[in-house]
Amino acid sequence: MITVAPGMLEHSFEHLRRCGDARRECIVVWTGPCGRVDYVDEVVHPVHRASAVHCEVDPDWVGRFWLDLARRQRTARAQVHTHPGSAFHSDRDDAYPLIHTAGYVSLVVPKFATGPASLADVFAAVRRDGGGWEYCDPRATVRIGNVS
Amino acid sequence: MPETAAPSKLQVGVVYNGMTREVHYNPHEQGRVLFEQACHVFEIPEQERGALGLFLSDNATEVRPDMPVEESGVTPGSTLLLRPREVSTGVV
Repeated sequence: MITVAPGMLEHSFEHLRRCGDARRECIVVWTGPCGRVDYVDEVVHPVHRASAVHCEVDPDWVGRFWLDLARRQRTARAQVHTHPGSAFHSDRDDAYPLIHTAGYVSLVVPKFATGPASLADVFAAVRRDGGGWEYCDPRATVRIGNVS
Repeated sequence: MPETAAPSKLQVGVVYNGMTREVHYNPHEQGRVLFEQACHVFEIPEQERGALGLFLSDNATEVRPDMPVEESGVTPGSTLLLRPREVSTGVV
């Protein structure tokens, strides 16, 4: 389970709605400080191109993102992206995530995030130790709150 | 009997997801050896490694798996990027 700083979910939905404009998929990445492995407190909006059914992050941006994270001693812990209709993990979602190591969280938001900013209709998947994904209850995967 | 020097192991920094780790390599070994070592250091499962590539610090030139490391432009002390070749989502 990852703990998400208050306001992050709402902030993420704002990005997804504004960029997607109810007609394109969109993606944001949640990052956290290296010293707190299960905590995220920043929303990053990658450089990407998208259509109603597809979203592709600029590979060059990924390399620059790695270096920026290293400079700030942070890591990516989760990605949140939209689908036009229902929320699920497609074959593409399974195959081409940002992170390929255990514990990474992927959330899928239905209807281009036009609904309420909540976990209610969100689909959640978590990277398994040996590779692949485990599909999970989003409320058992993400907790909203602060860490001491 | 003349003494022969042991093949020297050199070192590069590899960055993955904001973390930097030192990885040792032999300049004459194939790029895939360095790639596998980098994936091992970052605990990337074997079945996931096909999605990743090892890139020079220009973030564009991939360390060729089938070529000696030194011929790919890897130099001691340089920083390499281990990153996915593609990041995408979608219902199709």
